[in-house]
Amino acid sequence: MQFGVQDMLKLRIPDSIARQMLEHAAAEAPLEACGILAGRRAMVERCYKMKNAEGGTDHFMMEPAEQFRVVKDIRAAGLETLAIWHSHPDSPARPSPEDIRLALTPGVVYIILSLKSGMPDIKAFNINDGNVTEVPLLAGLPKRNESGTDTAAS
Amino acid sequence: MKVTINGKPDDIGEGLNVDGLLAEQEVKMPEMVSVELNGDILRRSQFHSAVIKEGDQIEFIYFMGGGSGLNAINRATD
Amino acid sequence: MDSMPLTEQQIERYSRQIILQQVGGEGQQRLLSSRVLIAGAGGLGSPAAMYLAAAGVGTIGIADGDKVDRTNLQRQVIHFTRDVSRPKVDSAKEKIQAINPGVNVITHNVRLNAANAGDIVSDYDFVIDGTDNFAAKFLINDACYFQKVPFSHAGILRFEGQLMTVLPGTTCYRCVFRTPPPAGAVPSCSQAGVLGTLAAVIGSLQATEAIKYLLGIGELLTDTLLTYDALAVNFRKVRLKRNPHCILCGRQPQITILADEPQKECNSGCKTC
Repeated sequence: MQFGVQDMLKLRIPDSIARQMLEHAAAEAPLEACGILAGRRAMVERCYKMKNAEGGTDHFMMEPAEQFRVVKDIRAAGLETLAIWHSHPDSPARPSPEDIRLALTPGVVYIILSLKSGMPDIKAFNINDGNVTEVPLLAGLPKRNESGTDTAAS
Repeated sequence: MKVTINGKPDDIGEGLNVDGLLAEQEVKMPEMVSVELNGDILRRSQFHSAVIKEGDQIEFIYFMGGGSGLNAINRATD
Repeated sequence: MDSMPLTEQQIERYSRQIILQQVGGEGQQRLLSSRVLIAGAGGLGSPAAMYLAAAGVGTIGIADGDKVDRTNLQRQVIHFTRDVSRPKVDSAKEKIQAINPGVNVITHNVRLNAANAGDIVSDYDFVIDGTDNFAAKFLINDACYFQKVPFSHAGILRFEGQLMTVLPGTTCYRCVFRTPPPAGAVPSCSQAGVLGTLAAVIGSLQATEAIKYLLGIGELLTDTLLTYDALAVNFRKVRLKRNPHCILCGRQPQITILADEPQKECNSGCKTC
């Protein structure tokens, strides 16, 4: 649990990760797919495809046992949990009131992958106490002249 | 006494049950949290009875879920 | 289809591809006896039609019920300034025949719908989805499924594009994207905008897939969604599988006849419409 962590200002998702997310979402459709993204310094390195224990087309729920396994795996790899994502097969890439209500884990970005529009749409959000702000998602690698903070969006 | 919480060593008071530990960790919604004590996932009814001992390894994680609830709306308007 | 030997003029015209090992004179004859439908003479349809004509696809069908509009000229390069207000199929036919008089152009000056789509696509070997709205994309997907005609699905918006090839038996558009969005829920090109060159990139890829299919060469983009991000210059291939729950091609199909998608009211609660 990361208490007091600043809201994430941006998140980088490499191609291979975005592809895994899309594949998982497409494979699980019309059910909602879900997963956890882990990495370091706002750069995603791993995508954990999670089981939707709710098995619903308009709901998702992770299994605590699987959550514990994944969190320990992330820790053992020296990474942090950066985002929780799920798909909206039939609605836009925006958190629903229920998504906002159940965004309980502090310090992570909430990502929604929509298949609704006929073209995949991935958006990320900080959700705190019911307040939703969009987080820019950047692709691929940081710019080479980075010292410790990222430069402007790619 | 020394315990491990979410992989980090920590020092907590003696005699705390899980409810007390979650309160001490400032968990805002303990009813939405899953707890694993020494590798076993506790039932909610055990949060009161399970007492933390020296050297225990505790993991807790928030419920992760959501839902668009959209199909309910669609069905209502069809 | 009887394949007449290539004339000297044809050998000269198509020499640059005839010398390709995967094409040859035989491949060229195959293209000359093929029939490809371009659904939508717009952004995607323009480069697709022009390159297929240049390659010598013998019969090219164009289906579009619209007239050329000034706002089309930014990306629909088969239409020129002087074509504004003209039926798109006429404008397209003229340019195709100027590129290659040997191509037989069939114009379908109609908006595709459930009543006509089945009959129209059934006459062709391959269909290119060059439409600009999601309802039409689903209609083409369904019509090609029922008529067992292979097709290339594609879409472009802002600085992004996507592409996939659907053959009978492979992942269809509805396997991934179940239904079109409600009216007004997703911006169209007229609302969100699109960079013209996206049409060139994606439309040309569609024509390439068509030619590969007709010649039986290379690996088709089946069970795969290719996405293109022009700003980051990223091409991404997403593996897909046929969806057993697909409402069209799954185990318990809910769509059993071609039908126009009802335009639902947007009720997703979003605030941007």
